[in-house]
Amino acid sequence: MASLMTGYWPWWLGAIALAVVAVGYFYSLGIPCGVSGVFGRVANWREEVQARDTEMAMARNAGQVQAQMMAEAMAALEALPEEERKQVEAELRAAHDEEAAVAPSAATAVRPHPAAQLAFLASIAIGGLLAALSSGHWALMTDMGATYTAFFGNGPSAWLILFVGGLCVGVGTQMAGGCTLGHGITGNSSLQIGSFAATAAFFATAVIASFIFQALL
Amino acid sequence: MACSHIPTCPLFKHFQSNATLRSWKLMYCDSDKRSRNCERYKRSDAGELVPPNMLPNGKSIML
Amino acid sequence: MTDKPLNQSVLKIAFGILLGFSLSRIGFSSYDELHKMFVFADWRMFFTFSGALMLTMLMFQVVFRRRFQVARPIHRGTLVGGVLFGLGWALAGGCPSIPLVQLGEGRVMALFTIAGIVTGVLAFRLAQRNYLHWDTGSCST
Repeated sequence: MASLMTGYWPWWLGAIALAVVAVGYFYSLGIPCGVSGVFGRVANWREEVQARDTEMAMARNAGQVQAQMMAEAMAALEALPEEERKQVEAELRAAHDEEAAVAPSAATAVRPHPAAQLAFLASIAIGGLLAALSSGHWALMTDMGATYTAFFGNGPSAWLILFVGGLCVGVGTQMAGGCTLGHGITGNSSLQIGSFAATAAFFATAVIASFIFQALL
Repeated sequence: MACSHIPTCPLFKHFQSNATLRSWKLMYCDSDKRSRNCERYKRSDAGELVPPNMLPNGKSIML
Repeated sequence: MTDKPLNQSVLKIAFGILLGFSLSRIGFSSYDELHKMFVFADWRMFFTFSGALMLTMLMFQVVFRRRFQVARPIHRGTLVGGVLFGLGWALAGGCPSIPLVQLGEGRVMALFTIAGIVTGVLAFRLAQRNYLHWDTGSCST
């Protein structure tokens, strides 16, 4: 039991913990757990606040919004060329006998404030803090471990490598649309080909790069 | 094949509420071809920001 | 599933703490352990990841049956982005959550990684809007 508290977790414990996070998050919040997306939103603070304000205004004036949407729908229909308009009207009539449509859900799409997203990022750091404290490993460290120091040193060269690595992660995750959690766990679990591809790409690259570092540094 | 952005489109669920609003769906969402006319799709396809209150025909909902 | 924004925030923070805690105790925030995994010297973390994936897949596909699916089509950025991310992982330790965990553990140098991530995110958005114009797959920012 003691080694569970101080040593690294056996694979099955870690597996369960990560699965609990991935599934539990999605189940209770309705959206998949992903960190790279959150970084993206926090980095675009001002745009996020603007978009959120618009979404809140839309939610507050739901009735008026719907009225405008309906009026515009009719105008857009009128603006269609004759033949297309007839086609759309026919399709509308055909669908008329469908059972009553569902009203838009009251849980409207108002995104969280970037401050709340930042709090989420902070909570991950706090998790690390608690883990280090509870296992007796917390210490103020100015290195990244023996392996890292052996490869990249400890001073400005190491800082630069970390920054460049961060750049790659920042650009790569935005480009690929997810990270180890978003693609690696959630995406793959949904059997999504995009996630298979992304995961394969990043694992393969990380492996190859690590072998190269080991050989050269 | 319907518009590929449907799963995350904030307006799509409104288009299901009544017959008049369903015409939006028919005009812009139901087929690949028609979705290419959607202003929201065009913008996001080009990597641009899409205001939450922009309709498929490019007009903005007044708030 | 909960609706109220405050409950959502509290839940998110709870999961965030659990995530950070787990990643640290597993060893994903340790460059030493990561390197061992990537050169196949130690399979423990690889099995951790695979195990988590299997469990999650089981839950999503069998237990919850299509209720929780995400859409992740392959697009232009998928492979290049994946490669870049993999490189970043080997250089700085990976998934954007890791430097956050490292900060919590007291590794102050993780600040450089985070600075890099934020810069990268902003740089990509700029490139997207002004030069690349790649489909983001969604019309909601």
